[in-house]
Amino acid sequence: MSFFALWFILSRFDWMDIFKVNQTTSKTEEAIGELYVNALQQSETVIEIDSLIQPITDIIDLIIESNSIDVDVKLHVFDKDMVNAFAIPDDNMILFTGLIKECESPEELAGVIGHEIAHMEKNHVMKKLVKEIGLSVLISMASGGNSTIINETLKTLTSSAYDRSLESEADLTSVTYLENADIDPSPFADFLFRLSMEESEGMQSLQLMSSHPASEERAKTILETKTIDKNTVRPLMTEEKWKALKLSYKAFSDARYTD
Amino acid sequence: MISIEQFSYSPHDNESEKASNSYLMSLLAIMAGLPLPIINLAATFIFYMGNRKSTYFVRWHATQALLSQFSLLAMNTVAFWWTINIFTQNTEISTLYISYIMAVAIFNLGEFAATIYTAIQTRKGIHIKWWFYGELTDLLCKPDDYE
Repeated sequence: MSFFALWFILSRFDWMDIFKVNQTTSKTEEAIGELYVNALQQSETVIEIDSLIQPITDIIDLIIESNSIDVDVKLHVFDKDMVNAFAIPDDNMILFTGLIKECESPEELAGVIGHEIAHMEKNHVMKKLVKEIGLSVLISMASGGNSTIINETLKTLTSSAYDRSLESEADLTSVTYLENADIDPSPFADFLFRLSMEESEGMQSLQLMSSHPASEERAKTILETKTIDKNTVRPLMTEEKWKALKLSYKAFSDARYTD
Repeated sequence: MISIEQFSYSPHDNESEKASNSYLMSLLAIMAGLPLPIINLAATFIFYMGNRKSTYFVRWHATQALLSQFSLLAMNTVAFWWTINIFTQNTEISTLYISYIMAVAIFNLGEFAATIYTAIQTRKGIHIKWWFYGELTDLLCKPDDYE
């Protein structure tokens, strides 16, 4: 009894604020996120051309505003043929141009972006890192920053999946995000269906979600979950504009390889 | 919390030493057992088993030392698994968790101090009875007919 009374009395104080727990946690995440972004910037080509980045930033902003999400997404696009997108600590979203080229519509891309924002909002990124590489490694990274550890753990973020339950949660949350933004989630399911077909054809370059729980199953769940009325959906951008954007990305890559 | 009472007979010096050891055993186990709370219970239980056929004074204090570990075991076990859950990011750190850990730490320290005091007094042959656990020990531990 006396123990519970003491616990109750102590719980009246805001220890999270007194010990500045949240500030310390966010500083650690910020430091780790910065290390990963720097490591990627050293090994890959960053795309910083505004006309290529802005249409994607617009999709992110639309999802965030329509869902009142308290996440400040920092977008980084890298010129890499791998079909991949992933979230890293401190709300950094990494997109490879391979993904943009693979998507057949902006709605497909919006589904993937929504999926990554869901990982950020639900704090899956840090959960996964702690589970896979351990808290002690993360703390030593935040305070020191050994390049070998950074590169090895970066592989964890880029190639392997979250738990099946976290993936499903991110998928379903993405569907909700899209519907609240009046975006049809069906193209997101189509994208996963196509991915599952290509997986079975053994396309090695397709890394996105290849190790995730069966893409076909996920696509079916998305179609079963969606409730949006077809009449209320609005296109993210015109087909011409989307095609032009994809061509611009292709031209950027081609020019880089020609150089 | 703790009271000095008259025991039914004056324990021999040898008995006082053994009875005092049962508390020292739990003290050493607390130091070795943190953060695995089961270790101090196991240590006092082993000591209790070894002395359950000893004299009434020794048995009584070995029983009180053992019983006093149960509430700490429950508190420390919850603290242990709650912390593990936070480390694995299944649960988030909260004011409720921090206050629980503080309450557990205060109780562990209190128990630690009380155990040292009881061990010293028992070594002198003074009968120390803890609140609640002393009453419980009275119910569980009866003198043999010849004692």
